[in-house]
Amino acid sequence: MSDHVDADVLQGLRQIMEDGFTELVELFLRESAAQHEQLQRLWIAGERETIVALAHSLKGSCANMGANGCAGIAAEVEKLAQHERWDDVPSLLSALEQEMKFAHGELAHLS
Amino acid sequence: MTRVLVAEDNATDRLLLARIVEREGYEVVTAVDGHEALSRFVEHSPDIILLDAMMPGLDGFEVARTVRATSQTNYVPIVFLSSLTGNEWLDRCLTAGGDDFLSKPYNPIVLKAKLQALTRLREQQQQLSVQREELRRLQSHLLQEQMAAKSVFDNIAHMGKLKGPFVKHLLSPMSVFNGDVLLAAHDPSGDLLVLLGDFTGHGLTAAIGALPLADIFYGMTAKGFSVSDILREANRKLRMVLPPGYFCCVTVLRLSLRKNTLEYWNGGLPSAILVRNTRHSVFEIVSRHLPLGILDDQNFVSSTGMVEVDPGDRIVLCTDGLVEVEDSAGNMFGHEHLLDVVRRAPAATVFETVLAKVQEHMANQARTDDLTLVEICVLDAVDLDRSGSESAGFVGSPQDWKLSYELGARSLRSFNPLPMLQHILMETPQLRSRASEIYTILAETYSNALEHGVMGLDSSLKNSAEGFATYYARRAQALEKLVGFIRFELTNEIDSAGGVLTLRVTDSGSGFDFRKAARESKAQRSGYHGRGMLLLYELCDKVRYEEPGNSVLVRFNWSADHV
Repeated sequence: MSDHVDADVLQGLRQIMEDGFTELVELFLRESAAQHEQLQRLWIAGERETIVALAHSLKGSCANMGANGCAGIAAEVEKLAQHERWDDVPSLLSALEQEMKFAHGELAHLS
Repeated sequence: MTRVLVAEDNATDRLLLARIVEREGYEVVTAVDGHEALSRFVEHSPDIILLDAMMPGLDGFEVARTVRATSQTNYVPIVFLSSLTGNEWLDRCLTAGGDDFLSKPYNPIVLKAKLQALTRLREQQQQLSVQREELRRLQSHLLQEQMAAKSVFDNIAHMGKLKGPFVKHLLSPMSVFNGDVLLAAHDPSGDLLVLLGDFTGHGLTAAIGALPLADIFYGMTAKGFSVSDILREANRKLRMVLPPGYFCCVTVLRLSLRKNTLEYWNGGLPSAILVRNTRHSVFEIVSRHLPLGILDDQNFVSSTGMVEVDPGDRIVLCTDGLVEVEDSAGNMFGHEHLLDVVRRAPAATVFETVLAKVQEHMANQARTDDLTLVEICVLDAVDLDRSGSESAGFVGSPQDWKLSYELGARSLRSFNPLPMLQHILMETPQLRSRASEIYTILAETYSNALEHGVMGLDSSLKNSAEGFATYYARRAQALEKLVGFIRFELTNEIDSAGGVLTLRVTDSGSGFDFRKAARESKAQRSGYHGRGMLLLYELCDKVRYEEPGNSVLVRFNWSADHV
């Protein structure tokens, strides 16, 4: 394991959160899944201006949780959306879905 | 405990950040968006704000601007939370009022360092704010005290008998206090004494010297001292109390409406201007002396000038602040210009015309000095103040008494006995309401005895304007070489209706032809030399000269004619 989530970051989070660690992980699992779903909905509905903010938010929480792969893809989505280069967004969103499955799997195992 | 507001819309990040901050020993308040951040801010008054830049609804920049705008005195440091990069974004954070940034992923060590630094900043800001408040309080206290002191000062330095229609004045100070002093009071004989002074400097330093000056002026004027005596005492006092390099330019005038004379002394002020209504000319009262507070008593010259005045004449006085008012090009108003304006102005509006011209000259320029303008109008007659009559409580005061008081040559040369005699007379309460008449009787008989009796001066000199000046010049010379004496014999008697004051003044002179003088005096009522005698006849129910004309006996019935 630990290819998709940074173990050192998780170790640090455990220290900080102590008893609240599980709560933090579960919260992230729920929120990031919801955000990813919403990203896809927005893309289908064509509400593209909101995509930047949502990708930005997801990027931040993924980085905080050590899910660096997810954070990297979310950052890419944010950047492309900012420059309104939409061509590569669908493939990035499916890459993000894939990467999140792995990360979520590792995290779900922890909590 | 330091309270930190965490405003972040992402739940995971909010939970993590709140925990990190809490672990460092801070109290945490959270908000999920911009609107909640503002209401939490108002509700909890946090010491530090951690603020996500991108939030739905109200974003972090708006929140920061609102916080800065609403709490200007209470400084709350703001840290922007963002994984945003690029100078444009950082600049937006700073412009909105941010103090620092924290990027994701959060680094607890970096956050700890930032929180500590901002806590110190906050404490310093609070200290500063407390000190500022203290300073503001002190300042307002100081201003309050100054205003209170100013009202005391203004009562002393700018009041006196200035409220009559015959005196117009404007005092405009540079600061709270005015370095210019305007004093006016009637002496016991009813003459009006006016003193205009300009102390070096402005504000409190300049004003402080006005207090002893006013004290001396009012005190000595009320007791009937001469202008010379008042000046000498004021000079002595100011020299003692003022720091080196500080002095007071002064013009003193004594306007006698009974005798139609103006006595003057100017030390360092711009010339006072006497505008003669009837003769369409002006007379300048030029500074011939050093200001008060410079020379020691021995070198101080207190001799005054004397000029005759007529009803309708006006005297214009000003301090150099008026003459030196500058226009936009830096040109001063100037004395010649002032003279010209005064000359051309309609008699009734000299004061207003001068003011208007000065204001026109300075346009919108700021003043650099205290500025004072005074106009005194010579009236036909003056209502003497007979108030202050006391009718009760005579027990324990002198009632029936006799006094004989003789002055030798040495005393006559330099001493004025009138204030002392007046003081003794005023010990008798019933005489107080007639103070000005009594003083006039004393003054007239004394000056007749001194000038005509002892010194033998020819009063007919005073018939012409030139002779008037000659007369006063000779008087000063004669005084120095004077020999002889003057004796006052005063008797106060009480009867059921009131009482009678009798005064006999005898001098060492050879006497004068009082019968002839009395005839002339009645023939030419407007002559100056006869005025003194006429006045005596008007005030007393008996005036008797005794052979060989060196002694006069006057009887003043103070119970009669009492209004």
